Amino acid sequence: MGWFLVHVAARYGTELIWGESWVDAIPFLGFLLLAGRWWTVSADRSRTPLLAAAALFKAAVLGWREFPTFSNHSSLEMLVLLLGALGAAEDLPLDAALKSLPGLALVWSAVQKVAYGVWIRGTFPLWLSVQRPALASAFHLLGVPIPPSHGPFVAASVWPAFLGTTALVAEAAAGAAVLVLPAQRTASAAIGALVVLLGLELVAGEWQFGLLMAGLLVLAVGDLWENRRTLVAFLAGDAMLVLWAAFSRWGAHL
Amino acid sequence: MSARAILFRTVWVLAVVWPGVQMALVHWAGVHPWRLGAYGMYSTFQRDRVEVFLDGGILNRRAESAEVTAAWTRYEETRRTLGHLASGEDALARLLFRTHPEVKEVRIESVRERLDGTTGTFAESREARSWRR
Repeated sequence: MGWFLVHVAARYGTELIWGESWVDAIPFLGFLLLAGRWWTVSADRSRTPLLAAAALFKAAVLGWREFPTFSNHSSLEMLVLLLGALGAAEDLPLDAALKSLPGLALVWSAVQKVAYGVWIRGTFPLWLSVQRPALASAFHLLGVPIPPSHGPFVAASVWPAFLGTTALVAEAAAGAAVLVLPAQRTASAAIGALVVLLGLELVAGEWQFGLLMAGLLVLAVGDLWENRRTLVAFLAGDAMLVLWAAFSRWGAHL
Repeated sequence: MSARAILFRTVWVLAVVWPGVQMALVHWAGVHPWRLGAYGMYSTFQRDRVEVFLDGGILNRRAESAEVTAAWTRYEETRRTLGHLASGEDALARLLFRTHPEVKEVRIESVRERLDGTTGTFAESREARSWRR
C-alpha cells in the first residue's frame, strides 16, 4: 500500500509541479484517498464509504476543472472514479465495468476516425510511417492510405480505421487491455504491457498521459502492487516522470 | 435493485452510448470532435477563432484591456468546444459597448478552419452576428 501511494504521489505531485494553482492539490489529496479506497476494495468493499466519497469528490473536482472540454484521458479518469465509487459493493460488476473501458475507448475511437479521418501527427504509428518509408510501404501493403505529408485522411476501409485508433489514448487502452483482460495475470504480462504502454508514450512525448493510464491500469488490478517486479517498473516510471517534470519546470534556469 | 446499483449501471450505459450522442452534437451543433469525452481526439483537425469588428474595423485583441481579453478568450474557448451551444457572445458584445462608448456597431465572427480529410486543405466557415447600440 505504501508503494502504491508513492506512485500516486509521483503522478499527482508532478501535476503540482506543473500546476499553477493550489487547486491542483485537491485532486492530489483526493487521489491519495482513492488509492487507499481501492486497496480496501480487494479486502471488503462494504467498509469504504469514506473513500468512495473521496472518489466522488475527485470526480466532481475533475469535472469542474475540465468543463466543458472533457478530453479523453480526463473522461476515462472520471469514469473510473465514478464507477469505482458507485461500485464499491460486492453485488455490482465493478471489475467487468472497468475492463470494458479500454474496449469502449478503442471502438468509439475507431468510429470517430471513420467518421472524421485521422490527424496523423496525433497518431504515433502513422506519424512514424511518414518518417520511415519502409514502414509506409508495409502500411500500403495492408491497404492503409498514407498521405505524403502531415495531415488527416479519411479511412478507406475498416482496417486502417482501427489502425488509426492507435492514437495515444488507444495505445494506452490497448496496453491496459493486454494486462487486464486475460484471466491469468502474470508478472511478465504486466511488465510487457507497461513497457509497451510507457515506451509508446515516451516516444510520443506523452509521459503524463502514459503514467496516468498506467495509474488507471493499476487501479483496476490492485494486486499488482504485491509483485516486486511490476513494482520496480512502476517506480522507475515514476522517477522518470518526476525528473522530467522538474527539469521542464526548473531546468531552463540551470 | 438498489438505487446505487441503478446509478452504477446508468453511468456504465451512459459511458457506452455517450460518444454516439457527442457525434450527433458534432454534426448538428458544431461541437468540436475532439472534446466532450467521446474518444474523438486525433480525429480530423480543426482550428477555431473569434474575430471582433467595431464599426466595421477589426479589433486588435492585444491592444484591449485585460477584462475584454479575458472575456474574448473565454468565449473563444467555449465556442471552440461547444460550437453553436456556446453562450457568452451577448455578454462579450455588451462588454465591448461598455468599454468602447463611441462605437455604434459590434460584429462578432466565429471562424472555423477544418482540414478536409480527402484533399488535405483547410475549409473555412464563418458565422457572424451584429449588435447595434
